Amino acid sequence: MTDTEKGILPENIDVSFLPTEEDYVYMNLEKEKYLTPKANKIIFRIIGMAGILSGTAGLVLRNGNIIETICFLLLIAVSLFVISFYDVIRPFLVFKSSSAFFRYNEKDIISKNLSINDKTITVNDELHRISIPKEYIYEVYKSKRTLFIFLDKEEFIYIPLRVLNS
Amino acid sequence: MAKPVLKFKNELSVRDYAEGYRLYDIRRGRCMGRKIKASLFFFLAMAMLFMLMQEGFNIPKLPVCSIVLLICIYMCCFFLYIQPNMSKHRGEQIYKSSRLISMEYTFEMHKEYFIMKNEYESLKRYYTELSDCIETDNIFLLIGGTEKKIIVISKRCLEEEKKEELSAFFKKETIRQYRRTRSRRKKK
Repeated sequence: MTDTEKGILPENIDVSFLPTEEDYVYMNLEKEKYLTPKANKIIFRIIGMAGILSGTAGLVLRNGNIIETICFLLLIAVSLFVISFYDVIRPFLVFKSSSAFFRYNEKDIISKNLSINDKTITVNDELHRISIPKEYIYEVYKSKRTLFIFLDKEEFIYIPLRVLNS
Repeated sequence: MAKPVLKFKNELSVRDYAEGYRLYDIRRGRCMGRKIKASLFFFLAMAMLFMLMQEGFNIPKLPVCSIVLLICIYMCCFFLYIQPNMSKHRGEQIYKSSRLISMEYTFEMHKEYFIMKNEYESLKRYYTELSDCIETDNIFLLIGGTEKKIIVISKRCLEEEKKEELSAFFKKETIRQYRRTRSRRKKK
């Protein structure tokens, strides 16, 4: 954990919260946005742009047969899909799937208690209890609505910021 | 609290966790439905090949078909070989980035649930929460729950007798979720 991350982490708090559907959905959207490598987004945009340009050029410059025209149109459609994948399509899918997951598992989502003191972070609910020294934190990330405390590259504890602000 | 049916200690190696993570990705993660995705690209590749054949492999005449054919071949390889290997690599990275996964955990198996704990963490999980219970030659992989979705139990740290007991226990308690997979190399 870097010094900046230590600054993000609130000190000496003891809160209890029950995640709502909105918390859960936004947490998933923000997590996806944060964990998706920037290189992937850039590569998808470049491939999409190249596809659209070559498809358009093919349609304009070549007087091909009907099959070729269909192929070029298909190429443009696929390129549009690729170019908007990380900005529109994936967030939409994440939104839909996490909302459905929350509704399906609503009874399993239980309240959590979180306390942070000088040395340790403790998160506990009915089934899961973690009490770790701050050195064991891999990363801390604060997004618009959620505070993420990563225990490794994938596993994390999340706290909706509304809980900390209230 | 009721006495556990089985109790044992377990410590994971990077290999075990990576194997577990790869299996998780194949069953419930990014690699889900990889054979269907690969088949779709395979059929698209066949269609492109057919179109090229009709033109006598005159590639300059159908450049788009050739490009789509190459992309389809790459996507088939990606879904079948590259992506599972990437998952394994990701599993290794996760293991290395965590200070909790590599620690020794004590597992207490009860009739309805199990508890895994060490000095920093304690987790109680009901078998009804699990979506999959997969046994391989080296690990038991338990997938499910709303957090800490992947739990891997290494067979390397267990005695032969305990392995069989645990295997029989999972078979009995997680009937719907249980499946046994064997590595292809050993089958031969």
